[in-house]
Amino acid sequence: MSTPLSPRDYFEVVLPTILRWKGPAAAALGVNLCFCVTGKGGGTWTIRLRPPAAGVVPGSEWKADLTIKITAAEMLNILAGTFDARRAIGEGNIELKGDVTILRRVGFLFQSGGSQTEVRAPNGATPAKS
Amino acid sequence: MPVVPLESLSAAVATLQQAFAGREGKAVSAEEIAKHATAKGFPDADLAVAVWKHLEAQAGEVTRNVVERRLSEDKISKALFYVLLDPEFAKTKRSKRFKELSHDFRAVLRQLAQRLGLAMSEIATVAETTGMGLSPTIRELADEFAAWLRQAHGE
Repeated sequence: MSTPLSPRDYFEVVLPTILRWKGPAAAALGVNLCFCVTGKGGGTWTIRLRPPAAGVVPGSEWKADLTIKITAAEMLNILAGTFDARRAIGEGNIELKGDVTILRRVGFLFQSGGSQTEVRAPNGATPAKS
Repeated sequence: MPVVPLESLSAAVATLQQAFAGREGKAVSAEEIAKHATAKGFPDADLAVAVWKHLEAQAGEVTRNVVERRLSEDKISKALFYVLLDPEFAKTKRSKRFKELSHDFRAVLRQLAQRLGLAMSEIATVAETTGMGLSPTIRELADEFAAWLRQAHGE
């Protein structure tokens, strides 16, 4: 498990499982969120948070309310708990297109059940460079 | 000191790697895998066999029943993920140690989801303060204002 999880594994294995656990609460948001992960190990996935059941669809065929373009390195930082939004955006590693108000709602959905100190990587973990 | 879920899973993967060592590339029976996994201290022999079978299936048609020569920690941990996520497999398991491993695995998954949630909230904070990725309503208003300006300048 010391090998970092790849974005593909995250979007195709981890996230669908989490969304199943969240159940109707995830589908109730009624939005589509597209993640376009650029660079080595990247890909495009659309998180469908709509009834009847939330899930993840590879590609961008579903019309997205918000598209997040992010480098694979920053995606790995998110998964490792070493992400710094201000730095990532400042360095141009993240681009947003669409309704940004969705971010808070989806963020809250995924964050529910854990405090920031539980979620963050322990001190000393270094972020990956793009 | 409480067991950290990720450390518990890492230990499980390391044990499987030891149990599988030297058997890569060979057609090994389930009994043999179970025996070696138990000898190395893996918590659940059936789970070890299921992971091995998953790795075999991943090896593809040409090399059916033959797992690649050197199994990486990454490959084993992914196979363990898949097996632990299989509800049919979980239904058949009742042992305390399997439940502990499954519980640790779920804790790791929850943490991964929470990290994405936290990142999205932080991006939202920066986006709100910098005007990044303006919301559709604001964009429409900006377009309307630009059209009005053009009209005012007689373009």
